[in-house]
Amino acid sequence: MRQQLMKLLYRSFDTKLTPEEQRQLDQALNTSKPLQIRKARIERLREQLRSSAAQSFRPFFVERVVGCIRELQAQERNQEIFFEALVSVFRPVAVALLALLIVLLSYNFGKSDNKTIASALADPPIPVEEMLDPTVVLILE
Amino acid sequence: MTDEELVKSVQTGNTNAFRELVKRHESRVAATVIGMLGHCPEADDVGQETFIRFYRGIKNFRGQSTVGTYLTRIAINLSLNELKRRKRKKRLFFYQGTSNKHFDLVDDSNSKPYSDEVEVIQRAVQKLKPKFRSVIILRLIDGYSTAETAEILNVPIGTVLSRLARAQKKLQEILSPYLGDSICVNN
Repeated sequence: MRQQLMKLLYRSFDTKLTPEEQRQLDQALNTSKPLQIRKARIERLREQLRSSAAQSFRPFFVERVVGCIRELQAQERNQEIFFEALVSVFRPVAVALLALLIVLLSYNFGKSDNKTIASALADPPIPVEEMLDPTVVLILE
Repeated sequence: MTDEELVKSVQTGNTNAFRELVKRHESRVAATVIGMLGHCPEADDVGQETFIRFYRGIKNFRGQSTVGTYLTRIAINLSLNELKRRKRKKRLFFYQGTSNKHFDLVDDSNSKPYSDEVEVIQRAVQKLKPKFRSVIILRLIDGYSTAETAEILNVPIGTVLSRLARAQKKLQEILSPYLGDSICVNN
């Protein structure tokens, strides 16, 4: 019973009790001196905790944080510059490579008698004998 | 300017607006971080990291919670990570009894002078386990409601209530020899 009341007492500081619980607690508080003392002690502890809050970090905290943020911004700017340069260089290089590829493919295609994709890629057909190990060919025969 | 207006201004690249946000919320973040870690150099680093994380994520800040709550959530998570790191370090070096010793190593030369009672209470809070310490800091020092505390810590309200009760009992036990009869547990 006493433990139940203690639980109610602690809960009453942080949440709304049901009307029945509140009535039970009020009744106990009216009759029990130790419970009244306990309530006063909890109130005092909570008050002391509230007043013990630290108010600030070491001096110039704001300046230190803003300094870090500026460094972060500078890093981000550098990254942006790098990626912008990368994008601007990528397009001409890609176009030049594509043009070169088309020229090579056209050249191979024109030179070859066999008009296939493989010939455009300058890929001569490989005979089966060359693909297989000679000993395997012998066994097969 | 409201916090939301300042956030919008930061989102467009205004660093001065961010400076204003840091100024406004330094005390709240300090209460959370110093409450969790004690007065130590790491507390300052965790405080800085809190604001840097906030800055990095500010483009995605939709205002679903207030700036203060958002910062507190970051601060509490980073503080818990720092406590885990300390624990790992302690285990690695077989270093015993650092909870008190760490507090003694504090350089308070730059901070405000605290009254003895306040210092004793801060030391007592440092003796609580992190899960109890965090509810005490959020609910009783930062002044969040029970529901907000539960939301920040991502635990049910019932858990917050039971941790609060246990933490207060433990604090009364720790503090009774120091603060005399005023908050003694007996009776």
